[in-house]
Amino acid sequence: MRIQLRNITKYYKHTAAVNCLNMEIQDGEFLVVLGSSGSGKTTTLNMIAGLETPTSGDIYFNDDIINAVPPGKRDIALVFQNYALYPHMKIFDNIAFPLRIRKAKDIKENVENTARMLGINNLLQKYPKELSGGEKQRVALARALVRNPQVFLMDEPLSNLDARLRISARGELKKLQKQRNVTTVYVTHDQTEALTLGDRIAVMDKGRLQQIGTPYEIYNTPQNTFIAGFVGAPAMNFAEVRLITASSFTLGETILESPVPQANTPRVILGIRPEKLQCVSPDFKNAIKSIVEHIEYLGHESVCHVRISPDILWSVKNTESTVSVGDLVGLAFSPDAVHWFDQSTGMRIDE
Amino acid sequence: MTIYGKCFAPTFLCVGKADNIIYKMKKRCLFFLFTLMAVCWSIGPFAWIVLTSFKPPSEIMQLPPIFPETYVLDSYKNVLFKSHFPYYLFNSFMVSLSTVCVAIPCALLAAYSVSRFSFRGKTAILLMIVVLFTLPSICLVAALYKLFYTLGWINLPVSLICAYSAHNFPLALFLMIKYIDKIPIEMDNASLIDGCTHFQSLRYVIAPIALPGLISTAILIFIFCWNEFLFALTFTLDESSRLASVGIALFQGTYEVPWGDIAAASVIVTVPLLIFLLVFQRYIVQGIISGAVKE
Repeated sequence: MRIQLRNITKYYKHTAAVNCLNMEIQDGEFLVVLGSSGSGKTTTLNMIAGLETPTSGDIYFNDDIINAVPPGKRDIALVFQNYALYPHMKIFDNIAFPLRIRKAKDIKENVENTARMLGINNLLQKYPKELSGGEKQRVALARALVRNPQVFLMDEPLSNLDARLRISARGELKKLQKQRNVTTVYVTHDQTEALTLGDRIAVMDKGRLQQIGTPYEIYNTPQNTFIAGFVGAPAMNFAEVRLITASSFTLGETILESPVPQANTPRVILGIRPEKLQCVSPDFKNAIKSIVEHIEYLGHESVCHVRISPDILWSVKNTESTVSVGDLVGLAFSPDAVHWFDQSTGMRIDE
Repeated sequence: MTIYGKCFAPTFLCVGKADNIIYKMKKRCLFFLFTLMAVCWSIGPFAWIVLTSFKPPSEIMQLPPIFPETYVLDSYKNVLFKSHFPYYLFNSFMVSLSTVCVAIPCALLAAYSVSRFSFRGKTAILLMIVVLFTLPSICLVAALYKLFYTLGWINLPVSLICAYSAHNFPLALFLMIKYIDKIPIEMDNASLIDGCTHFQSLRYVIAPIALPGLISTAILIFIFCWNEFLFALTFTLDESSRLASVGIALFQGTYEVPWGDIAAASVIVTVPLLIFLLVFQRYIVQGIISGAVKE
């Protein structure tokens, strides 16, 4: 099923939760909608599900407008963040419920097959409150899967699981989606989930779509400072710089020799990912001098927080352990690794 | 302030240990004493009635009241086999049950829509229902009598069922709204996605989850009807449709007030309610809602 959103706007009272959203989701695609809370991502999902109606704009399933079709008739399944299992029904009845309402045949067989696939067939006679978080999550998934919907909608389905379980569930979810080849819209605020799961990612902020593209595009060519700062951990380092010539600029108090973009203003924002920076000797030519303020040790690497000037604090991924707090270090980077943004609009400047 | 706290906290704890236990004991004793008083206060009159119902007539009027020397069942036999009281009980039961059957479904539907939908004039309607709730029954009784008289419903139980249902509806509604508000909206959404209409969602998901609330509201309404006196006295003049509450009050013989019989009838009238509470206590206490969603 191909889903299209055309000029979707949703107002609550006088605030726009979603503002003029245009999006197309291909058949069988796994689209992740990424955004912080209040970005309108869940509202978007609810509108696709039919739980809310857009104030204006149209939603297409294939070629039909389905704005007025009730959720039960859209052939979609939604997995909720808090699972929303029916507490008064046994697990079997929970999974069978959508089939019973639709008066389907072979309910018992269907439920048991789905349960077996997800490894929960030993839980069928229990009540939801007897289950652990991971088990509840599987039941919620089973309830969604059992009737073979055309579209899968997921509202942060993994965010209530503990970290270890989340990673394994992520893998299973991706595998399941590829097996079934069902169009999936997955809402999350976790950028790691977005990067690992999505065929494409749609980044939303303040009700507007910021960028839509493959994880590679989102990570490597973020279209504005919001996306650049939101995707990637630790977050991208930013600094306001003043361009001097076509190949030099000032950052803090240092003058650096490096190619700069063609910009209309001399004031631009430089962004660089922590893993693209290298700690070198401070005497190194073209290195940014900085003082190590704080080190986060992560085992295979460590993240150094370094102070470049009183108002610029960057983080650097460092695999060597020779640096210690208080050291004066130089930061070197390759010119290709730099992202440039317009200071006034925050938009990306392409070289 | 914090520094002082840190310095003195350990010393305070050491010194205060013995004092603390005594203080706790005192507090506990006081609590028990108070509870005991409260229990005596409310159970006392009822215990007196229970004792009176077992006394032979000669001991009933003795002052100060004494514990009976012989326990006799004469009063109970009188009430159950020699009077119309069993009919009154039956009437009471049927009227209360019918009221519950009318009021609770209405309240459930109304509460669901108030809790889940927003519609024009919702606040105004709720406000009007609150006003209805605050009207004392004494100010309605004359108008209702006139109404039922015109309809020819005097002496018919339907008059009572109507009056009770309407009179108890606001309370039932507000209790049900509270219960349904507590059910997370995800339950509705999940059932809608699973293919339910709103009515099916209420029928298969919301109502079963709200069942403990439904039952406790039903019991409350039942008890109110069972105990109601004013409407019952006014609208039923005949013995055929008389309710138990009125029956007890009109238990007078020609020459004397049969206190023993009245006491026995009072005890009998209480028993069904006690049984009700015991049977449904599980539902009232049970928290079916737990485990629905992750809090």
